[in-house]
Amino acid sequence: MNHRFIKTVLSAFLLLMLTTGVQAAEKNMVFASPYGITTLDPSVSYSTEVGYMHNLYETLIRVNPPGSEEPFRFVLAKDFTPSEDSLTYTFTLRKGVKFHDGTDFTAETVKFSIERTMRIGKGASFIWADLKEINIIDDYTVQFVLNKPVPLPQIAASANGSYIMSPAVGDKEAEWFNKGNDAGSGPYTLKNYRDGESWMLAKFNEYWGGWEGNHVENVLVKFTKEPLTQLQMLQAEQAMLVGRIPLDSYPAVKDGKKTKVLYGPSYQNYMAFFNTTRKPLDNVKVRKALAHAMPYEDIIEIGFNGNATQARGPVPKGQFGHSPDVIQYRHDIEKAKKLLAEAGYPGGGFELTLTYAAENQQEKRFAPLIQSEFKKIGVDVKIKALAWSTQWSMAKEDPESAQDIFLLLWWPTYSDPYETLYSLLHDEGDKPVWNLAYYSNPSYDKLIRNAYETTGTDPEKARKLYVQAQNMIQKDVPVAWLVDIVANWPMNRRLQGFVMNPAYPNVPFFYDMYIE
Amino acid sequence: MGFFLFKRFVSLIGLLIVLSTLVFFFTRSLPGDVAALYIGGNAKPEQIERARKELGMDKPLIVQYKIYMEKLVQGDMGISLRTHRPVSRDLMEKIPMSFELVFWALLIAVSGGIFFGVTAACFHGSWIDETIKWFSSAAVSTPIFFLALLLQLIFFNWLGWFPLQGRMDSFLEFTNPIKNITGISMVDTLISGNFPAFLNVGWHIVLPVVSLLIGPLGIIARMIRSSLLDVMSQDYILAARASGISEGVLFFYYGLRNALSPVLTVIGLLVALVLLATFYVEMIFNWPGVGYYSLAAIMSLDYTALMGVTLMVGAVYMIANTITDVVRRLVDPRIK
Amino acid sequence: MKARADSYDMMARKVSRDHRKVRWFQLRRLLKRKITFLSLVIMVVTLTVALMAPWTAPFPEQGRGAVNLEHRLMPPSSTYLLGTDVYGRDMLSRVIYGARISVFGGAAIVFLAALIGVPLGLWAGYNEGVSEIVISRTVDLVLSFPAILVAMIISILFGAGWFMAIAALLIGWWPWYTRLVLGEVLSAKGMLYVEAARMLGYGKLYIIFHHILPNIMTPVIVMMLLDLGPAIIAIGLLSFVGLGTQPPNADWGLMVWEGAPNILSEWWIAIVPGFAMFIVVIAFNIFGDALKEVLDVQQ
Repeated sequence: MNHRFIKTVLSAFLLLMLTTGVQAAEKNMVFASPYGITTLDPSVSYSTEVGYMHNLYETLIRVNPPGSEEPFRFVLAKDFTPSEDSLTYTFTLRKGVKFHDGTDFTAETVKFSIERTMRIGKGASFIWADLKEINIIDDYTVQFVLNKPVPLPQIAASANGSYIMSPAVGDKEAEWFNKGNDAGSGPYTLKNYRDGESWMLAKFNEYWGGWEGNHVENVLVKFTKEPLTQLQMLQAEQAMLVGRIPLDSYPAVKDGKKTKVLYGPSYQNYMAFFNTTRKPLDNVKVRKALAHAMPYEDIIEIGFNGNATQARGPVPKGQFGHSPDVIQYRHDIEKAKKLLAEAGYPGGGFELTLTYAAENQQEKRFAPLIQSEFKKIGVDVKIKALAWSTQWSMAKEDPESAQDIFLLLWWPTYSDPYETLYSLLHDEGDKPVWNLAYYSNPSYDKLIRNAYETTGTDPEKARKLYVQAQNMIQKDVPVAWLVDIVANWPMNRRLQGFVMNPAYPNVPFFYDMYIE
Repeated sequence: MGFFLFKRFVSLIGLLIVLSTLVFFFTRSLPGDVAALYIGGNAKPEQIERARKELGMDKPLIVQYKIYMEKLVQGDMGISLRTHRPVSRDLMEKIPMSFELVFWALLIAVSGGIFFGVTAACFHGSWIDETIKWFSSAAVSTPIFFLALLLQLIFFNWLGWFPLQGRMDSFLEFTNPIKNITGISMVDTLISGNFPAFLNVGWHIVLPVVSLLIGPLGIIARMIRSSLLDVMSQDYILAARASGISEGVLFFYYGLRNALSPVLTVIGLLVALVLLATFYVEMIFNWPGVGYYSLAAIMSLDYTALMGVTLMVGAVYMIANTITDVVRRLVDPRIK
Repeated sequence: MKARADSYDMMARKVSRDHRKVRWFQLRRLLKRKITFLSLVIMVVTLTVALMAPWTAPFPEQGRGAVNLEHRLMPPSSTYLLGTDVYGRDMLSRVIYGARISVFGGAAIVFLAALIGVPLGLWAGYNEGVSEIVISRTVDLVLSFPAILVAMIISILFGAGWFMAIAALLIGWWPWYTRLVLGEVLSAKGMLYVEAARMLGYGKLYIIFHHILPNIMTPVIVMMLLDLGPAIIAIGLLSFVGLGTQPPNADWGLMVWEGAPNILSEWWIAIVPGFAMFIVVIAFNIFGDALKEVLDVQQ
């Protein structure tokens, strides 16, 4: 009885839907997103909101996915030319671009935007550290002057901190943005902003790219944390695109009648920092043994459904500086046992604490695999799942009393290996931030700086220096590089045109998409 | 009565001050670096330093405490580290959503509990009584998270009668978006004449409400039953019966009225129980209310939101207890 | 004089002992009811199986957390009676090992709560004056906070884990015992035998331990039994949000949490431990209720 009543109500509904909704639905889509918004201020934004920011705002240029013919895609800039000494870059700007508030885009706005970001000094503003000044040549020509020959195009195409915003922003603060306002030039503008719940990326009629052809016009973002919920929304066609689904559901979704999973390159990688400051991990042989004992294949298979590859050093596959010449440790229990014995720990016999971020589905899944495998060489692992912020804070406090092994998911801010190599392993003294192995090697620090400053003038030499630096690290094993992941997006079969770009992780460029 | 109310009010304020003080010093003694948490992402050391200044965390603890209490008095609970918005604004937005769940759950639990309790007492010793007794035992023995998952499995996955989660089907947000008037979606949809959305919300709300109400329903039914049986064996009922008052009047007027008093004593406890249960129910059913918000605050160590949540739950709990006390004094003349 | 005092004392103790004897005698009646008997059987079986886990679990290694990756996500079968979880571990073995953590954790909370709460109640009840006011105000204060929320906050602040979860839950748990004992002591003090003993010049401690304590043990034991179920659930509530037991150990709450993402396909991973929890808690509740009824304890 009850059942029938509900079915009746439901079918009345569907009828209503069919008559009113379908026509419009083809250009509209729902994105069930696990990515929350920390701030909407484009100068400050440096977190999971990046996926929306790139649809609201644009940068001068974008890095193309690896394998493309051209290294860059021109967005607000039409062209750029570096000077002989790679210290000056001149950008020619696109004409006829309007911001959402109606203001025209000019050289003035470029200077304003980047200076605002540098002045506020939050978020990813550090990317501009080596910028000396910005000169306006004319309305549509702008010149960047550098202190050092750092790779400026990569910086201007950075995933964070390089957005161009309307000068109408003036001296408005983050507060104004966080009420749901935007000042971008992107194809979409923010509407109906209900933080922590839902918001709409709505078509901006005067977008310079135009709206001819097939484009998604309105995207309703429903903030949805639970992977199970996202799965259900995807399967019930309540969402066209979702962020993450339960790990074990990938095989079914991949070959679903209505669903598919898009895989693509990514610069994200997982790593395990070893605490090098105290016994037994201060011994390089013990660290080597553990690097050999890591069950890389199981981690890939169980933690990532096979969609990852064993990492080869800190620089992820596909990024400049990645090389097959970098040493890699294979999973080899016998060798691990032998190394432990050589180090003076035959049969293991010590306990290590491993921390990971409780929010991270993958880490939660593969941490027990490490524990189980280390047991085979006589090393007991105590796993601690902590809120990310706690895990990180505790690791930074005092290396002497911190964890032994720290699991981390890392991604670079811009497409150059220097940031990764510098942040993760340069000597940070007694105030560690990202170097959670507490590793110190002055010749390494010098080497990577040298490479960074060579990139602008002699990329091939820089590449060689980066490889040399990575092998220096690999001999000391302060970190076990676990896996380079293959990014994935579960989506409806009818959603087309999604291009995954590892330089912009977790960014769906909706303008390129359409519904079949 | 006036003096009693005044006394209760003063002690309520006192308890809230103690609570907020404890929470303040507790959260400040935590290992996490709050400033780093506020910045988030791949923060650089100098940015964290700057955030520390901005949050006023470079000042001595006691000065921070003073500032915190001063702001609290003005209803300012600070900025959430996670959402970067005022905690009080966040809470005000989420409370109506949870109110919707809690209201239905308590309404049904109390009326259903009284109904089943009275029925059981009426048929004392029969199979009806036994059934109700076992049901209420089972109800209080079911962990809320297990119940919620079980309901999802049975009523969504196996039978397909109800939706798995959420407040409304997402395509309705394009065709029939809810106008935000009171924040309580069933009220908003009804007064704005948005009938499809109203039905849809009603359809979505069933499973979460059922998960919330089962426990309290069992507790109330069980209490009503035993206190009714207790009251009905008292001397004054016997005397009343001897003086010829009809059995129905006896039962429902004299019996039930007196049997309700002990139930009132646990209402405060029930409110707290349901409020806590919303943490789990809202998480499992993806209901964007204050429970979901609280749990997220706890899990991400969002210490300002954490303080707000603790104060809110503590206050609701204490206020419910105070109201219970007052109502009991009104109902039961024996209490001085 | 001494002789007379002794005989008064004997009398007073006899009165209280007879009182108790009658009550415990009624216990036999308890087991005649099928449902109570069944609850007792469930309790005994659970405790035995949990205690003997290394012998009763079909795969003790997996029960302790060793992974078995070849047999992931298998539905119930003859080898794996209750199926396997995401790491291929036998659910039956996991549930048996989980019982140790859940049931003994619950027992630890209840026992420790009584251990803290009862002496405080005795002390406050017998001394009255300042100590009573301080203790009963503290009890009121603690009971005016929602215990689970406090436990959650403490666990998150001081590091999640089984011990921390128990310690954190204890904070909100002991006052119930103090409150119960305090009430009982205050009413027992008016009893004839206590007054007699006091008139005869027996010391406070003597009276507390020889006359009052034996008489309030029954309600305390009943309360402990009735609290076991809620305590097991409380640990589960913390574990379910990752604030209790840490992997590879798992109590039932954590197991339900681990299985929750798979509920729509491999439902047994979450349902089996949840059901185990339900059955054991209901057994404790029914038995506790029946005991309370037979012993006629007012709470």
